[in-house]
Amino acid sequence: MTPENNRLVALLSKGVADQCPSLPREGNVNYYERFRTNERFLTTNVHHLTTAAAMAQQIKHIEKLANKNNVTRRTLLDEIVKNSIWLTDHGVTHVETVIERAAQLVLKGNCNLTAYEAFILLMACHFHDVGNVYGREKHEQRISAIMDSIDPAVIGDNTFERRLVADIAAAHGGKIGNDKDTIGALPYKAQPGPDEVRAHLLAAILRFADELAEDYTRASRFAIDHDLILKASEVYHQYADRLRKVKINEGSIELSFEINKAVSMQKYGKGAKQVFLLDEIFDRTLKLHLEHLYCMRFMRPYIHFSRITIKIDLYNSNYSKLLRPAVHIEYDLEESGYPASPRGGIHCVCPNLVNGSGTNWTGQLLQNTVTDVESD
Amino acid sequence: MYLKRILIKDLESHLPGDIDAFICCSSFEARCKTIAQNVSAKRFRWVIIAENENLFEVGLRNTMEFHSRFASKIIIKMKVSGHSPIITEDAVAYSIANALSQGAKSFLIDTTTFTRETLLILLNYFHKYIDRFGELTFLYTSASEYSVGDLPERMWLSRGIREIRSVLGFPGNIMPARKSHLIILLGFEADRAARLIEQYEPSILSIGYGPKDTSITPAHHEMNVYFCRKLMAMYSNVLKFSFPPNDSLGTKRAIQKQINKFPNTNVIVSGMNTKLSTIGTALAAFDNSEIQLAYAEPDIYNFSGYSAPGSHCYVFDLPLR
Amino acid sequence: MTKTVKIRNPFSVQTPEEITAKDAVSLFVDVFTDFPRIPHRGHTFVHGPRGCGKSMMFRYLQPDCQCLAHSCDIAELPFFAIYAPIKNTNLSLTELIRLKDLNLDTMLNEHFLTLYLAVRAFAATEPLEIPDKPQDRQSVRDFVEKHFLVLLRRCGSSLTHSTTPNMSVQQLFAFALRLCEELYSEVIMFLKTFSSSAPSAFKGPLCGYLDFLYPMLRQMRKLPFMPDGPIFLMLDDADNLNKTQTVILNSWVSTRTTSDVSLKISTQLNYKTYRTLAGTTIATPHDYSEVNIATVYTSSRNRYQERVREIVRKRLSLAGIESTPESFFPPDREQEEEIDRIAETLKREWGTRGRGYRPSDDVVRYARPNYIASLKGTRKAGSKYSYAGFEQLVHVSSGLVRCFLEPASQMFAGQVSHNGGKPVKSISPNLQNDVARDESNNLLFEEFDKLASEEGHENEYYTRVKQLSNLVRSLGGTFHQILISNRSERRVISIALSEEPTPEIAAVLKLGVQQGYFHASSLGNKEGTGRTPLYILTRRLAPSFTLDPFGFAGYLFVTNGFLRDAMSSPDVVKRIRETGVDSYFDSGQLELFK
Repeated sequence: MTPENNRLVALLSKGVADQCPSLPREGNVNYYERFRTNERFLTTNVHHLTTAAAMAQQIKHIEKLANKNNVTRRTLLDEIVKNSIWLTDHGVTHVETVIERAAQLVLKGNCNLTAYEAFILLMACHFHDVGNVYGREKHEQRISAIMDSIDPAVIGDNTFERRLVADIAAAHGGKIGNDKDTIGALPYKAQPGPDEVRAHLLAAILRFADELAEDYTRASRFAIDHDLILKASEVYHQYADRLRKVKINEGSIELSFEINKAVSMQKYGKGAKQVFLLDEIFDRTLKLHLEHLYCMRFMRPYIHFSRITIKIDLYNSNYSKLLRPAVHIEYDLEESGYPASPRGGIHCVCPNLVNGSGTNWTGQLLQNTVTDVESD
Repeated sequence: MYLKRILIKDLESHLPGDIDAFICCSSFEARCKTIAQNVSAKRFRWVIIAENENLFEVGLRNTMEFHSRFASKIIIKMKVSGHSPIITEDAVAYSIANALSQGAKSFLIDTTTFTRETLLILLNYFHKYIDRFGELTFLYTSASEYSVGDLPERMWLSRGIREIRSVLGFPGNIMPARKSHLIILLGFEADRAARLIEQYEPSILSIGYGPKDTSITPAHHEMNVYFCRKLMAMYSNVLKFSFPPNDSLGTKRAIQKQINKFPNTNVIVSGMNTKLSTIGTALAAFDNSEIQLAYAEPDIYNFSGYSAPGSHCYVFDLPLR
Repeated sequence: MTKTVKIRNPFSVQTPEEITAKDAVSLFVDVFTDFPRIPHRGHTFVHGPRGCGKSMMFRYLQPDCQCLAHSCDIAELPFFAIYAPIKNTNLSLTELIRLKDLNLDTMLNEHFLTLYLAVRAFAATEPLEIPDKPQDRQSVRDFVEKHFLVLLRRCGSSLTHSTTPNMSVQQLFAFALRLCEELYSEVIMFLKTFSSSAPSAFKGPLCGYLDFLYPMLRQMRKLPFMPDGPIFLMLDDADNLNKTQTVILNSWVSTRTTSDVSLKISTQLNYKTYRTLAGTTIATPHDYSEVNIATVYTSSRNRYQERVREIVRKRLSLAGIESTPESFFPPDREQEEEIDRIAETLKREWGTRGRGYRPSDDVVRYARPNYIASLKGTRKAGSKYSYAGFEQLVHVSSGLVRCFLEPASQMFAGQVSHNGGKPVKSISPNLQNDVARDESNNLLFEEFDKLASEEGHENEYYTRVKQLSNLVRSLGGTFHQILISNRSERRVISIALSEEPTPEIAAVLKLGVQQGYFHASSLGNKEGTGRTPLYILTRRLAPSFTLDPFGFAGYLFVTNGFLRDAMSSPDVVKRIRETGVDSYFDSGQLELFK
């Protein structure tokens, strides 16, 4: 259960006690109680299933494929590899970590969340990964289905509220068509009125908090040490396990990794490939940086971080002390220098720079176009 | 339901014994004061004075007279708006609930100078919460003249249409796939009716007008007949019908009869004739929630010569229970 | 006993929705060569004042008309068009204002709009001859059960309705329509009971474009009797949407769904905003293409004339009247003969006194204006310029078909009355002229005239209306003075702004365009530094100011100072009359179109 002193929970609790006007008055709902009821329900019935259920869906998929005619052994093996993802923890601990990260983002920012916004964000944190019970792929799009199956006495019968929670939760990942801009596509006003929930802000907080929650609490040390993790997922678990600290400060974020000699020398399975952990850290922190830039668009002007600092230290085998000579890798991920031109040029930045037929405007196209136009 | 046309000087003898609160509307029209000046202030404890924030300045003198006349009473202001029906509905609810909470039960309502929209919203409030009320008595002062001093061909009451909207509380049940039946109770202002017709482009158009002897002047009856003929020349499905402009129940029945000719249509009704007939549109809508009432907000009124008070008024109750 | 036969008025205005497919196809004149984007894939905005033919175009695009026009089945059509008229208080119920600035505002408005269009989509199938074979029934049942109902449930609907095994195709569509209507009614009921002081939660489903309407229409497209081409959702008079609904619609336009669903949106030049929910603005051409019907027909009068001729010819034919448009609306013979005589004189004298390059130039420029000038000062009763004649009436209608048909309808009714009920073979020139003048005077005086008595009780809008009235009268009077002057080019009915208009002037001009008194256009300026705004007075006012409606070749350059004077009072015309046009306007102000 999220502790009472969690910033978001405290905001909600105080708002209910003070009868904050942001909380809908319909039906005399105690929104603190509603949050706790949903928390209990999901903790008891859903969260602990997500990892196992996602794996089960992968197995079902392989079974279905295996029963088809004309499926080659190669195809089947490739599918097994592709579907052998042992997710890091998506259960209660992960949800608690996301909520904690979200609370810290809110605390270090200046967003003045209302009690109702705190409620919506807490609920969205709880619902954001529940779709994994139906499988990893497009899990964020299955949240509504889970919500619909929950008794209205638990989740409430305010359709709009459920929709708001589901939309914010779903925007934490995935795509709409081929577009990853799931927050921008939210069907809510970009500039809401003073009494309206800031859906884009909450979605960005959740999304970024989720990115920052990929730490050791999601990994099973026991499983790693006993070589129980499926090959294709090894590096994901190592990454999580080695991220020992996430610190959210005023204006900056710090991620601290601790690795030992054995870990740095070995390659780990990532799908069909084998990669070094350091390279995975680089890939994942770059992704974190991109997520940071993306989410900042919607968190501005309330929350701002100028820098993410990554620290990687080499320890002895049991992580009791730093190795000598010291090996310390540190780098900052921030917007700096003059922005680089994207490889695709201006058409990459401005996808709307097209004529009526959808062709990119260029000098040549213009010349061709005006040739057919009568002169004055 | 009773409806009596009486001399204003005899008003006192036709009012019920028990009145707790008096509701009136301050306006630029002199008629707004007629009832107030002829009813004994001893009869009631509360006075609710509706003041239109958009016409406040032009009606200021009359407003001050009301406050002066009822200085010894508990005055509750009902700050309505010509532009915002939301403000009006909230003001109606707040002010009447205020009086009810203080113990008022029976009300005397002078409907004369409320705008049509405000009057309809007020009636809707009474209808919705009728169980909270005791006796409701309504009054209406007739006019001796409209567009005072103007020649018949130059007469006007209002100009322009600021907005056409559904009346708050009377949205009807307008279904997307049904044909529309627009019913207009034609009054003095055929041009406003024309604008309404242009906006709605109904499949069926029913134009109601009162008998010749109820018209403001014979010339206006002719103008309305001409207007109808013009519409019938232009549009293919125009029907005429008659209604009694000074009888709310009669108007209601006429509207219902017209609606029954074309079942399964989206019905929109706009009263542009007398206040009594406008009340009739509300009665029809109370009985049939499928009816949408439409209101065309004027841009400007003939402030200086809208009307002159007559010597008669109507006293009536309404079947709101 | 004589039998009274009711004579059908060939020009009576029916709302296009009411016209049968047969009549619509008979009456419709193909205008799509003028507006090729409209019947093609892609979102399109179609702008034009009331009466310019937008709704008729949409009517013609509907599948019942298209099948009849092309003698084919639905499946062979290039698109399937669904008509959705947005009437004044269908969607923008006053109750919705209570939701403003509440969380539910956007969602509920989108749900309301989505359901409205879903109902229209199913209603579109009613008049069609859809095959009802067992495989068609099965496809439609699958569509309803496996897509429509599933989508509804995903949006939160708890309706447990289902189809019955022996439902026909039409019954299945009717079932879906009724369900959508039920949900639509639920919204109205919710709004009716919603109170700001004690707000209730909305417990119904919430359907949107991307999660319900678009996927539903995409599946509908796949039905075996549907065309391969896209579905057109034709929203007529989208100005009537409230602001929230407009923003939502713009968000739909910004989605890339045109391969399956194209939005065709008509407006009367009063569309509230082009902003989307995301705060961005949709723009042409990448989000949509745009057509302004009035601009096309104002700038290409020959095209418009041909269109109207064809419309009138069809209507007369349908009414069994064997007359050509020109013979049905004959001009004033005496007037035209006099103008011809003047024309002959001009041709004869061109060699010595001609101004144009050719004799015919002088005829075009001066014959009619000279005739009009010759009427000035005459005391003969009835010696007024006549606007009778098909060609003149077309010009006076100023690019708006309805502004030809409505007066024509009155003329016909008047002629029937005059004929004592006998068949009408033509409209007398006097009657034509009377109706044209009445219409013009109504347009000029209706809103304006009596406001003059209300000094001291003004609001901003009222002030602007008064300024517009003064401006219109000033310009009309000025153009008449130019017409009867001795200037080389006299047929002027436009002004070009020689400087940036002040906000006050811009507001009045904008109101004038919105109310149909002006048409806005632009000129390229000589310096090549941009375009100059041009405002063309509507020819519907030509009879009120005795202007030549036959075309225009000049525009008057005006300053803010002149416009301010004109807006404050029409007395400027008196000054021009006293000073003379030549003295009042220097040579640079009166320019010719190239």
